[in-house]
Amino acid sequence: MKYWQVIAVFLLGTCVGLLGIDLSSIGLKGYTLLDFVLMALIFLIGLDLGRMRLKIGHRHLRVSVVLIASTFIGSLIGGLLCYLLLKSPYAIPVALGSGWYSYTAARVFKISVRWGAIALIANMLRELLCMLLYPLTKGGLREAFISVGGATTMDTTLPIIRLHAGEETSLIAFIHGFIVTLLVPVLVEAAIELISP
Amino acid sequence: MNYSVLILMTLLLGYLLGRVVKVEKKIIERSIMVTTLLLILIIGSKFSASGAIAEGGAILRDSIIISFIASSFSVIVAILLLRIFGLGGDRT
Repeated sequence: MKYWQVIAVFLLGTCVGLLGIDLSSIGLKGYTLLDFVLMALIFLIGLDLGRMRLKIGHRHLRVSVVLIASTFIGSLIGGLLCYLLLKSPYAIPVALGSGWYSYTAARVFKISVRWGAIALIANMLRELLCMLLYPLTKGGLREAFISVGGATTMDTTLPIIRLHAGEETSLIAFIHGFIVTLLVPVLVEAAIELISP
Repeated sequence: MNYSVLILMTLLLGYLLGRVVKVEKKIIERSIMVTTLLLILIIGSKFSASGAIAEGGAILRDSIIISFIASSFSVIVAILLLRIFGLGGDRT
């Protein structure tokens, strides 16, 4: 897949959204179009991994653990820096959301409407950054860049990673995204607990 | 059903089917490409329909600052840790 295709399709989607049409909200029996496309993608990636007969090795696990730690350490440092820059402690849980915008926004909305909106957009932008910039990565940076995708590397950004970095890296990305997804609620909650007066 | 469990089950179903049924690599890659582009189209529409662009001003600025700084530090830490643990390199 060419980089210009990603940008062109994203811009087309943005134009559709500006017309007031949110394609993700189109649904059937409680499931949205986004759910169907996501599940189809995950199924195809599973099919691909099964076809390759890849096995989770020591290296996959070691790289995944390092990337999970990097995602949270980097997000925490970023959150603390934003706390100083924007003069609000809410920047910390927002940054720790690691791309999981639906959960982080819903949780932060409860304490601040403004910061709930920021949590939604900031984490959505993180997903977009990964989607739009991942095709530009090369060599060793392809594994390190998985950290940008955060929780989304187990679903929405996984296909981009699979297409540009191959099956081995997509396996690492899935493990990373899955564990990050499990840890985000715990860490966001802990951060909110710490900053609450 | 929990979202993470549903995703894991779908991946597992595809994985098991992939081990049993022989499917052409090209067919899978083409299908992944088409569905990925569809996904990007949906996310693009979701992004602008959420009001993020129309919102303008302070909220968008703060969001860009947080996402950019958090992402940058995540990559920097990842590069450093992968090198420290000898897991980096030019494997592609």
